[in-house]
Amino acid sequence: MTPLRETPVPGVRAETRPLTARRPRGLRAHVAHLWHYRELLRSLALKEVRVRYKQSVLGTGWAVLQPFALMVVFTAVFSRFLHVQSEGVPYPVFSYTALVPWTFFASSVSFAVPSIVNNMNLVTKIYFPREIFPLAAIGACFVDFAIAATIVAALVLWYHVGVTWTALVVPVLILLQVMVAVGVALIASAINVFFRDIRFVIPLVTQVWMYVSPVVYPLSEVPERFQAFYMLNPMAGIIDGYRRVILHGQLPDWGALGVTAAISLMLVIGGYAFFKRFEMQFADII
Amino acid sequence: MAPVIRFDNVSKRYRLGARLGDLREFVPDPVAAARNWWRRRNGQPVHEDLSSKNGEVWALKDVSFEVEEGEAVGIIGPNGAGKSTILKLLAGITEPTRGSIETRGRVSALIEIGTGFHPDLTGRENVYLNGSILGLTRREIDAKFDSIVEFAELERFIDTPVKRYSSGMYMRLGFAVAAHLEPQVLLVDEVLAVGDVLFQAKCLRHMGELVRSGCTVLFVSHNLEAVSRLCRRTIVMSAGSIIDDGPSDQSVHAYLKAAQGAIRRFRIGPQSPERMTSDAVTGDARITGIELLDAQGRSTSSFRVGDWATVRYRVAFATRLEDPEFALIVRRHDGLVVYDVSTATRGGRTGVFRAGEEAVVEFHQCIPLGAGTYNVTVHVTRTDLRMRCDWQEAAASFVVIGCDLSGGAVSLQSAVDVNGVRVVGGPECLRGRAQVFRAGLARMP
Repeated sequence: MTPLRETPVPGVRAETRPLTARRPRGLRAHVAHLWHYRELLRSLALKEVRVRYKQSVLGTGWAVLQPFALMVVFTAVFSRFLHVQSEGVPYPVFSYTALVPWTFFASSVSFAVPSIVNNMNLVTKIYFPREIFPLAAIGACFVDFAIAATIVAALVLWYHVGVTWTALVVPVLILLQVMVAVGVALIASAINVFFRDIRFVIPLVTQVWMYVSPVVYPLSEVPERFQAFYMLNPMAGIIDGYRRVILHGQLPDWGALGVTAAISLMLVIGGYAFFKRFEMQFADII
Repeated sequence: MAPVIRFDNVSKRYRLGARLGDLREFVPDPVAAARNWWRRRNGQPVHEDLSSKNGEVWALKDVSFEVEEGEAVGIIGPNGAGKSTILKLLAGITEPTRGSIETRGRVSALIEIGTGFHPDLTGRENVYLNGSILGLTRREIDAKFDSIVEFAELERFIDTPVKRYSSGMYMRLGFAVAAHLEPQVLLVDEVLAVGDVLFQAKCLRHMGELVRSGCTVLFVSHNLEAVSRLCRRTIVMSAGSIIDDGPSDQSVHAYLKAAQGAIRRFRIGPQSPERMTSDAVTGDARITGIELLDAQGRSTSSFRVGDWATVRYRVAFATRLEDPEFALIVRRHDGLVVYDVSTATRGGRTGVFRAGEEAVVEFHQCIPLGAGTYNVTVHVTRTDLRMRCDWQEAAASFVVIGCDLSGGAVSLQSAVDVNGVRVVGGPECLRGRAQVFRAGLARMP
């Protein structure tokens, strides 16, 4: 194909950009493209938050109530009836500290997975990077996460847990937890466009996933010979990390956290590549 | 001028239904790969043919065109011709199966008004949401917000959830946001098909302003009059291919002619099976052909407001009929009957026709209609039994092209005096009548 001639046109800036192909190629170009749309991501996430609590009496109270109710039930069942160990920390703080990041992960995935199909009218009518839909859903869940997290602080004060400077590691854990949620959500939401079965698979998977993560029991209860295998679950490293840095004043087990970080990174990059691979078919398939 | 849009041999395939098939495309097919390798080695083209296989539709077949900066191009064609697919490809909503598409500048697609409005959010919240979906930054929306609200005439309701809006308010708000986009390339898809006449006029006026300000516009519509008014150039699509590309009046004319040909073949073919089974008509007389003529007696399908027009149709009689009624109905594109006339309603007597005889019926009339698309239905009725002999629904169609910027359903052709001085001239219809009168005189022996 011969390149187009660029003839100067009166009234038009001399350096007109050349004709460009419709869509960037390569992961880095995709990320740059996504960055260009950051404001849209922001307003869609904001819309998610607004819409979620419009015409509900409790409003954002639901963000707290969900993990809080689970904490109460778990405390009754696992601590009082089954006498599950909680590493010397009062069971309510012990479980709530895990339930907040876990609820973020589970609700991120469950909101993100149907997000593309639910926005069918946008997908078929206008173009922007499609990952914005699952990312906006996760963004909205992050707002809930931030609200629910304030209760952790309240519980820590209530039960006189001595929090030390190790809590400064928390942002690292938050970053990892977002990465895991994004990776899983991207893969599952893309598949959901083609196979709606995913909608039914996801609740089952997240429930099983919770029990193979140290949410209701401490990591130390997992038998030694399973530990290496168990830590392949990135949520295990993250949740255990939260307990160490907030409740025990310890630094995380850096080796284990390194594995978690590597797996999280693989999930994000792999999930994004997978999503982008199928993205352009969404409008045709839906 | 530099092109801002280039389509290079673009084809687009859609799969119908089969969902699994689409994933299968990503599983390598060793047989096809080997075949393609062999062909490439021997210098043969590797393209498979574009014929539709089972469950596949080629919405576009090897479409190539370029659009220059500042051009306004209309795209017309029957449903399923591939018009909207072109816009979707340009907007980046979907990718071509083959070929390449290049664009320059900020491309905004107006495929639907109010895309992404959420009913629970207020007008204000939706302006920000819709604006960012359409590609505006928050700062841009801040700056334009008051102007948007004013344009939509919704100052009082801007903090009301849009689910409580009337559909008119909803559309006004949606269009107001879209009107503030300042795109370099604007793609518009049949947006004007919704809304009332005033709203459509407002949209059209705004698009006219954009075109004049040098924005490149691609306009898909069934409203041929709007297309020919807004766009100098029009592309005619049919079954996924470009069948005509040129100045709008020529393209529109060619399209109407092709469409009419199709209608005539289908409706007035001598052995049309549809007619054989129809029991609504008696078949005592048959309409065998129809054409539209201008004041000079030339076959045409577009008129200017106030032109003199003749509808001519032939009737073949199968039985002897006394004083049959010949009728003409003119409908606007939306189905509104703008005129329903017959020899009987005008109090005329038509005489006696014997079996095997033929009659040429001509309705002469002025067209004081507003700009738009119209169709013509003709029928013949037995006055003695009050039964239809033949009825040809939408046997022909025509466009009326406005000659000035006045709007509305009919052209009242006002003359305007200011302080007793005539500033705008009298009815064009009279001028048309004078013309046809002269033409009639010229034809007299």
